[in-house]
Amino acid sequence: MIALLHSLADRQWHHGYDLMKDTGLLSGTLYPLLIRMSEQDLVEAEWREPAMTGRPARHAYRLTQKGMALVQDLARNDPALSGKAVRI
Amino acid sequence: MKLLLSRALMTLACRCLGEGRREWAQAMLAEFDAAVDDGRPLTFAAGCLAGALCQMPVRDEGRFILTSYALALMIMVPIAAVEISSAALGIPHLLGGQANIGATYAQKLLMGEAIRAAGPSLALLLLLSGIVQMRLAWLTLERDWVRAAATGTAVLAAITTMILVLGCLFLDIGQAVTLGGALGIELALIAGLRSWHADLNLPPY
Repeated sequence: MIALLHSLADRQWHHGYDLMKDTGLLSGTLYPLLIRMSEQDLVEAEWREPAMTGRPARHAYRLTQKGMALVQDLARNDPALSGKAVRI
Repeated sequence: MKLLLSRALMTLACRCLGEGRREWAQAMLAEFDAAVDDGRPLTFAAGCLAGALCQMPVRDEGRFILTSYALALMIMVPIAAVEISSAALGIPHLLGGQANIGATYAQKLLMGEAIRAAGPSLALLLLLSGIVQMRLAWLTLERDWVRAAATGTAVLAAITTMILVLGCLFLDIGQAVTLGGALGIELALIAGLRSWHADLNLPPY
């Protein structure tokens, strides 16, 4: 979860596959995490139009205010997170 | 082949997530194209399936799906297989080789021709009942409760007819009654699943 928070800490929209590559998590770990974080209102999701025609719309994710508050809370003890959180 | 297997795993993963998480299933499916472009469709699909399977026992809808599959694969399909194999092997197999056991010599003499004449029809009825039971298992997994109720009633009517005909012919009805009892339990379990499904209050699929 820390790795995922680290990837999402820039508060930009990210696609699921990009998050997988960024965090090194497998899809079987990433999606249950995203689902749980979304249910806890830490992450918000929205459908984005595909970059290529003929492809389905993709889900994009970013941290909510509550998620950002958690990142900032964790950043006090994690220098890696604080590096990103400062830029927000 | 790898892509075909990956797509099959993705479909299974989406089914495992159920109606309540349909949006997440669509989100995973949408990312599948990115995994294909990256040359890792199988890893992605296997991961999605593993994640979906791990979530099933901890969610009410997941437990419902697991129970549906257990009922279909461990009870309904085996009963249907018994019916189809009995029909294929002939009615004496269904009767455990004890045809006409309770009849006197005179009854056997009188009924012999009738039994021979009824045999193919009974075998056909049993075969149809087995095939329709396979359909009933499919309808249960599809959660098409209206059609499942109609199909279940039809199978029950077929088995009841068989028991009556076997009784009229002085044939042993023990195994047919057992089959009817098993079907009754099966239909009661389907009714229970229907009620559970309604309690889940899921969006229509």
